[in-house]
Amino acid sequence: MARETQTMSRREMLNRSMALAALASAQIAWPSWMPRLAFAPKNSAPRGDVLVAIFLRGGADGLNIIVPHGDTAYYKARPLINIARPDDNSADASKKALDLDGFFGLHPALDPLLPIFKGGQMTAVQATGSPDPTRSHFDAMDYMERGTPGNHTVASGWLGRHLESLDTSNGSPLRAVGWGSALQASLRGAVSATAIKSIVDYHLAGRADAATDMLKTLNSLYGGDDKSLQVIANQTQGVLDMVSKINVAAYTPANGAQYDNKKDFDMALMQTAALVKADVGLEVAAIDVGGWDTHQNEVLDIAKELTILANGLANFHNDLGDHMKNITVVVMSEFGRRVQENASGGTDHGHGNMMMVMGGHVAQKPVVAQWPTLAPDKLTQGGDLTITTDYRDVLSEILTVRLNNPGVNTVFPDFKPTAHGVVTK
Amino acid sequence: MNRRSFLKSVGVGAGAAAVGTGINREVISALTAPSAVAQPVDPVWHVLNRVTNGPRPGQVDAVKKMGVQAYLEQQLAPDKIDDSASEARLSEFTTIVLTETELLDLGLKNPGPVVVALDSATVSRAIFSERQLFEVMVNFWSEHFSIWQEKETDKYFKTPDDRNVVRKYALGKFRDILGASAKSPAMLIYLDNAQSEKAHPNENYGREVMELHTVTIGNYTETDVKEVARCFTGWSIQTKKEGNAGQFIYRAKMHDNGAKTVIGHAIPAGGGQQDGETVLDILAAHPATAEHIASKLCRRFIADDPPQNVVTAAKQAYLTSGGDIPTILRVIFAAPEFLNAQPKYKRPWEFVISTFRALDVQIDKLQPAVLAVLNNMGQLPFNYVTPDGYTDYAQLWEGNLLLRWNLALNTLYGKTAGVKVDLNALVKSQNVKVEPTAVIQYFAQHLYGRPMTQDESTALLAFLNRGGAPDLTTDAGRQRINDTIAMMLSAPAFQYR
Repeated sequence: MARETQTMSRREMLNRSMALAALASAQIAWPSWMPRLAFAPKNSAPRGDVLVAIFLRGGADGLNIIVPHGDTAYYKARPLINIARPDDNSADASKKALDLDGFFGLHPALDPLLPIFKGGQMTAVQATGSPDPTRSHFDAMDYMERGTPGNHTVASGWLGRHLESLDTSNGSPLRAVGWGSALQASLRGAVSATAIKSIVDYHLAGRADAATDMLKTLNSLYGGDDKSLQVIANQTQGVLDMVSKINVAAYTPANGAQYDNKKDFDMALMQTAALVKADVGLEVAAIDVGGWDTHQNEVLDIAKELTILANGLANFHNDLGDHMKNITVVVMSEFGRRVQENASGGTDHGHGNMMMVMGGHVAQKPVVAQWPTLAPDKLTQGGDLTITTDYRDVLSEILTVRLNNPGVNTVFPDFKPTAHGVVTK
Repeated sequence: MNRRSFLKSVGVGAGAAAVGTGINREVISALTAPSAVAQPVDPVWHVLNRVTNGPRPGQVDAVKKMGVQAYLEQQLAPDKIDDSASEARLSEFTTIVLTETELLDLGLKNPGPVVVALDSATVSRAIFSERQLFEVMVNFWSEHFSIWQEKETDKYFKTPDDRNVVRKYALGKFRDILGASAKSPAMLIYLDNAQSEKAHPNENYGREVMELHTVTIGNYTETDVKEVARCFTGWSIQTKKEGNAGQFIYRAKMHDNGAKTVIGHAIPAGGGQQDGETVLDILAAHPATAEHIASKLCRRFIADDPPQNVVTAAKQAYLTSGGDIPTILRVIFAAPEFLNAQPKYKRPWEFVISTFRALDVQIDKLQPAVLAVLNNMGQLPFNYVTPDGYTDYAQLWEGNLLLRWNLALNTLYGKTAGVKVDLNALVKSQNVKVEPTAVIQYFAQHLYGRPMTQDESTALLAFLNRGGAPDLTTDAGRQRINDTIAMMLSAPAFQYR
């Protein structure tokens, strides 16, 4: 245990936090404007995988990430910024795609992920995305995170609805964590979701000998005649209580994994790994990675971002080792980018994109795609990759098969998902 | 009864929007009249919480003396307010007065100090400026024309953008601030227009100027995005060879001089640089822009989902005044819905600055530690990556209260580096009896705009007097007051403005 985290017994912790959660749900009158959901879960099931949802913000250029090197139209549209064919002898090795299946290949900066793809623990979905035609970052992110393309009026996010619609007998205040200073829109609606930047720094300031009295006073103030923030205050206190029992500062990654402590992405992954190993009831973690809006100078910028992404994920995979059999990581972005490159050595907002899924039970093929081709007459809205797989298909399959949620119709209302074999039982 | 339900009961029946200038006297007297309802918030406190970054000790009384209407008019003409004391605090931030060229000429290896100087000056002015409404509007426009200052040379260029765009026109005309922003080197870099040329126009600015800065989604087509991008081709920044490195330049050779159509308006061929100006004219005059700006201002000053009648009145004020910002604000401030607005959750920026103002903090030299607090809470100025800016939907900021509780505790313990609190001096300056309960009662009125509720009083006095009443002549006794005020800042009532 020394190399992992020191924890109190899990039973002890859950008893305590379940008592807090019960207190919260019994006493709270929900203001109507509160986005947090208040319905009784429709289904109960044992806890499934821990889901790590990674959002690449800015519209990641899926065509230069999971490269369709077998499609000649790709090279016609991108004379300057393409990723060369794996067998292109005229290209520098560092500029060539890493072949996956003879048609698709990885951007060379994703090299650290190649063994995971080859080892059957990672798969990519191509020509996927949200069917709404918007090319606005903010609309597209909002629709994707709410899980309701074309509809801004649903107050909660898809992960929030997943958590609130499924009772896994888990009263942990750390059931869901959004890494960062604000909760991701996908997690909205979950009572048990908290935005945390750093677990190590998560403790009450002031004099230690007054802490107990201060927490008691705050409890009374937030539970007094103004109860508008009581749910949040209880959640904050629940997390404080649980975090005080684990020693993340002493966490040492396993198998020689080396996270970069200067990178927010790495720190989010490392803390996720620490919580998984501490077994504190984590079911969902959301992580954001920015920097994907490559309107210009894409060759350098995307390589830089992909290096961070690949190193982080490879370290996480390595660190978790056997734990990976109970983990599913999904990587998505609000839309892909225009097939045709622009004059600034970049690409403008497009439509269809890729997703990546990593875990112990993913499809035993590196790419799942019904490829519409990049032939000009197959493109949508005059120049964008056509979507053949709704992103909700992929997420529904993960929630149903890996997280034991039989009620994805609550998570994605008015949507009938089709399974594509992205994950396995 | 808490403040929220009180205001709700007063707000209902306040009736239709009173359009025109001036505060609605009837509403003020309704708010101050003796009422069966307990704990009314002080209406002047309410107004100060909306139009400033939070009242400083004694400020409510001072405004009462001069009258709310006079105070608002004074605030709407910031140039006439002597702000020399606040400006004198900025002397250490030497880079905030430099141009793009001068900043590049510094030849810095690390642009960090330029970024820190601008951020620190922004925090300092927010706390200490007498031009409080102006500072609130600076914050508003900085978020409306949001620029992520970490992008490339924007580490330098956001500094002159703050001065020449945001501060220059924060209480001016919308067309002027829009025009200045379009030509601002910081914006040209941030939304890539500096690179846009006729062969393949870059659409980034063309899209966001419509979606975010003016008409909003639904009022233009994807073709309009491409056409607007064509109109702005050639708007760029100078290289060193061209003279003033980093400053605006129009390069005719890069411009697409063909005919365009933007939202149904024909723009004939041969317009040159004027094409971009024509687009800005079209956008600024569009009723959807008036609606957008009106509703964003109402969201800032009234509520997340502001009452449509006030938005409509503000929109009309925009259209009839040619987008004159003070004219629009006068209409909003005169609306009963503004005076009766329900509590709005403070965003991190508002929580931190209002805490500092409420405690009358002394800052000899502003330390980056204050910026770190804002960064951890998720609202460091100019640090929002995407161009939609920090949201003004207060509800979306709810969550994780720990950083707020810790800011209050750390500040009172002198652990927010560089920030000092002298409670003794504060209490004396307000003629408060140096006696524990009197001090707590003063702070309730100061922080909440009303006396404590029964529940607050029970919780806070139990905490204050645990193990006996504190003796203020001892360190331990003073510490107890300190802790109690930290609890008051951490309580739900201070999370709202």
